Amino acid sequence: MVQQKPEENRRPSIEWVFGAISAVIVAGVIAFLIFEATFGDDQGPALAAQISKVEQVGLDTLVHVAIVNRGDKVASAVNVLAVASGADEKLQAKTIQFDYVAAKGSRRGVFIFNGTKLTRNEIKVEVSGFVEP
Amino acid sequence: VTEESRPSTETSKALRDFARAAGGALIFSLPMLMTMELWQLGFYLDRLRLFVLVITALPLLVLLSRYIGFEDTRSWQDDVFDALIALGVALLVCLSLLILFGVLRYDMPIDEIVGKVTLQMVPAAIGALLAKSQFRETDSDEDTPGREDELYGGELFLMGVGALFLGLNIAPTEETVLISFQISEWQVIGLIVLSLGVMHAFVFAVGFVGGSKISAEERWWSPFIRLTLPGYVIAMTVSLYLLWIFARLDDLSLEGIVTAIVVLSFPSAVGAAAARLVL
Repeated sequence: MVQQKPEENRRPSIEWVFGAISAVIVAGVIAFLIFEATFGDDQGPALAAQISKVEQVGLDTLVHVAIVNRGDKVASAVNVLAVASGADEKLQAKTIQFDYVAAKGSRRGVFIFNGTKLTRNEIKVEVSGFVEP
Repeated sequence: VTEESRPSTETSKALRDFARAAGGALIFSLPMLMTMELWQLGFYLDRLRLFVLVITALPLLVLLSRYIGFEDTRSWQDDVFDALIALGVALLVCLSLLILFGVLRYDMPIDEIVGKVTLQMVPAAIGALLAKSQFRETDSDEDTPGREDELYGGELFLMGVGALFLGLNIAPTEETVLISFQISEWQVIGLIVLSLGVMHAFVFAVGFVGGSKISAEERWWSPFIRLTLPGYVIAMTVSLYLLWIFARLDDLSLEGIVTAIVVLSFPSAVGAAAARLVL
């Protein structure tokens, strides 16, 4: 008496190969997430602002800034303040609001100081506040 | 059919195919044509990403024409021709609607107009090629040869198109990334489990015709390994591709990227598994 082979044994081997590779990928993603959930830090947003470039465009000074979040939580409504004091000792303050800065992520923005030529040493940038989402 | 009536019949068939393609383009792209984020992406999106979108869309459209298409084709030349027609129809549909919605104006720079239209044209062209199945009439109207002969690769390809179908509508929006910001790693794992569960339910409920048809004697894990898991990986790959194209992964950490992919993979996985229903 001939016993019928189960249906899955008759499948082309390529289907099982694709299935096995996919299983490894999905298991890898889940393992990564479990590792992060178990051993990852859980501190709140840790924000820092730094000037990445200062350039003169016409009569204006463009100050490129990068906001880095080294914390493990996202920060929303991140306000960044830039204060410049030129040769005339006149203070100028500008603000930018970033809608969010992701955990371990960064965002970039540009301050524009109209009608003045500034150097990097004449500008200070800082994060003035944020909202927890 | 008399000799005199033959040209008019061919003309009416061509017009019907064109109308079907335009209808498919409209159905597929309307949510995107009325989404603000896509208008904005049209002018600030890196042109390299736009170029990659168009370049990768061309082989996809040709393959779509082979598997579905708005008319039955017999050669690869026909498929290339149909893919180009689909792009043309998509261009017309997107241009007309974006002008009517006031998104395109005559005083805009040409770069902005090209960016906005190109971004919308690709999903609309996919819709134009899917028109045959969306507007399919009875089996007597036009049969679908080849469906029964589909191979495993064809099934995976259709899953990819299904993932694109839903993923394209959601990937450009801000919500995908915002959801990924507000959930923990355990919630992300929960989403993976839910996506796989929903996919497997669809695979069983809808079934897949052709080479990998599920038989009653098969154990549950056989289609899970052969279809559901590869389908989910395809959904993840499509999600990664879409999130990169729409610049939603910029400046995110590795964990942030994985989370955003898993979040978008949920609708993409549903689209992949339900490809038989939605396509």
